[in-house]
Amino acid sequence: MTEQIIIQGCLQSDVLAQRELYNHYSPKMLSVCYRFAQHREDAEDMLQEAFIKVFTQIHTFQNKGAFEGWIRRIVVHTCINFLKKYKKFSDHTDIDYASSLHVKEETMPSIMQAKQVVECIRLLPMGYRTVLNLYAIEGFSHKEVGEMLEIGESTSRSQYTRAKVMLETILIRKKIIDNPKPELNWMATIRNK
Amino acid sequence: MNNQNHKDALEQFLTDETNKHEMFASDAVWANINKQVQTRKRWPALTITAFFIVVSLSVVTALNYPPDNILAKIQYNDSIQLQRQQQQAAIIASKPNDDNFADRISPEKITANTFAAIEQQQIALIAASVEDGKVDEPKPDIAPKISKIVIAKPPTLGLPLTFTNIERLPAVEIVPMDEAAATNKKTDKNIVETGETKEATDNIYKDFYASRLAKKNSLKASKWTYDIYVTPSQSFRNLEDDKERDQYITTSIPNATALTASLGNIVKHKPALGLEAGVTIGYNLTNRLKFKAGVQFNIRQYYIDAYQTFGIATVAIVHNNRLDSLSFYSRFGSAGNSYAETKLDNKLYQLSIPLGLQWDALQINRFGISVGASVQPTFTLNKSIYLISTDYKYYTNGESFFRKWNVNTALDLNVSYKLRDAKIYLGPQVRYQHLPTYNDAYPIKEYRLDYGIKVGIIKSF
Repeated sequence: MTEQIIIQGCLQSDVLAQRELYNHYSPKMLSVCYRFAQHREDAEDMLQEAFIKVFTQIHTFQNKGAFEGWIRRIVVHTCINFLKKYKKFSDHTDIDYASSLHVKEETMPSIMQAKQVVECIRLLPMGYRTVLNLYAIEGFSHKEVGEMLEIGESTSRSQYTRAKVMLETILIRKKIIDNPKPELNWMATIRNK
Repeated sequence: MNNQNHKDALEQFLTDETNKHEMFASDAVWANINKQVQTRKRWPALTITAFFIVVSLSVVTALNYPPDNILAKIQYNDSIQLQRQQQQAAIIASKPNDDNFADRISPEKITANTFAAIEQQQIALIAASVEDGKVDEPKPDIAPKISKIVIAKPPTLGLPLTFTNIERLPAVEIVPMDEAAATNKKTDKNIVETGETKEATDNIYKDFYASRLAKKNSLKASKWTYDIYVTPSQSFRNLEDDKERDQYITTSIPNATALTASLGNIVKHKPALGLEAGVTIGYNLTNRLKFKAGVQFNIRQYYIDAYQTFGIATVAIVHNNRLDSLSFYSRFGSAGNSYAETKLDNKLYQLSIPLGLQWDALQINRFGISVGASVQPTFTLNKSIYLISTDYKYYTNGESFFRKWNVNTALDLNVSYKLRDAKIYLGPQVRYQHLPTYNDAYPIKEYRLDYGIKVGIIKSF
């Protein structure tokens, strides 16, 4: 079944089409939620809320751009709203916490690399993690991140820089990336500055 | 999202790795999503049904006991009771302190002197009030003004003079002045002075019994009734495909001619339980014939065996002498090989206005047999219904072809049993839908037929 037929079915509130859409996109979207959430349960709540929005707002999709991108934007915004709603996002506390964070290798799972990377991201404090997710992975600019999180653009930049350093440390300790790694020579660039 | 063009190596690495990552949510997530999304558009059948029943019962109750009458009845009863209490108090107050009072007020002992004494006492009371200066004080005119006292004598209408009969009839009936003024003629007739003739007394009882009898007869002869009923029913359908479009066969329009199977074999229909519930008001045209009109709520449904699939359902229509087609998204097929089987529920919620006649064919003691027929203009409330494409391959939403107004006819045969003040009945009913479920643009005609058991109760107003 093509994506267009699924969308048409969802526009008619067809349960089977909705289920098809959910089955197709929910694994990726749950991963997105999981990177933002503190717990898996929170991630599932975010996903649920996001898909309800998708199904009720699907008539607003105008076939401009990829449908997955449209869903992903809804999911990301739902995650941010969820964190704000339940006061799970606080930058100052997280920055302090991040400075004293010690990563223990045994806390991290050692399965697939993608999962390891995600788990490494989740080790970051909430503030760092959110900024990193939005900027590095979801592709928002610092200005947009600042507006979404209601922080200054400069705060977003500084948090992102710290988050990046911390994440790199974690990834090196877990031997997911080498140090120094030829293709990851950005650290050297930053240190030289 | 405008930083996509200058991602560094780590950012790109993170993006690639996270995009590979997938997780699977628990089943509860989809269950909750489905529940919330589908609940928003679900037809509130239970609420509507409950509302309909409550409104029907309220209307029937209001028709039977209009609020004004209830209030008037309560007020009237209260005032009568108050008057009686005051009258009794006045009599007791005027009672002399002797032990033979009961004997003195017995019908045989009452004489003109008795009335004279009572009047004297009243005059004395009024005079005392004037002396006390109480006359000027406005008082509510609650106390009845006794104008005449009618003596009850033993009836002479052939009734045996038993203790019970005497007890039923008042020995002394005090007629309030207001009533006497209002019914001057009647009061004059009822006035019986001490020593009146026997005929005058008899007239009182004649009038009394005549009025009671008239009242009773008037209740019996009420021409208006109301009827509350429910009819659990099974819904069947008959499909007829008019092949007018075959004259316009083109290669581009799918049609059913390529199929060897008939429509009846392709559509696998299972009847399902439906329900009709309603209230009618009846008017007795004759002793046996009654006209009825009311309002009725119907749930009609049947199941279709289908298969889960995806495709485009095409409906060929002939419009203005031209063959045209409409395409709809469909996820249900009429035949399948490896597809999962599913069941489609074609359910209608309808509101109809039954107008009909009922003939009481037979009445033996408390049992009776009646036959009823009604025509029911029907309005369908919901739109979610499936129709089959004209190539017989898919089922799709038939909303755009749906006929909102239709006409049904119902026939019923009932056995009734008469209770004290009501009649209950039970019997089979057949209900037929005259116009096709879909409008004329859709070439496959569907006619519905319901078989049910009607149960109800009839009461007089």
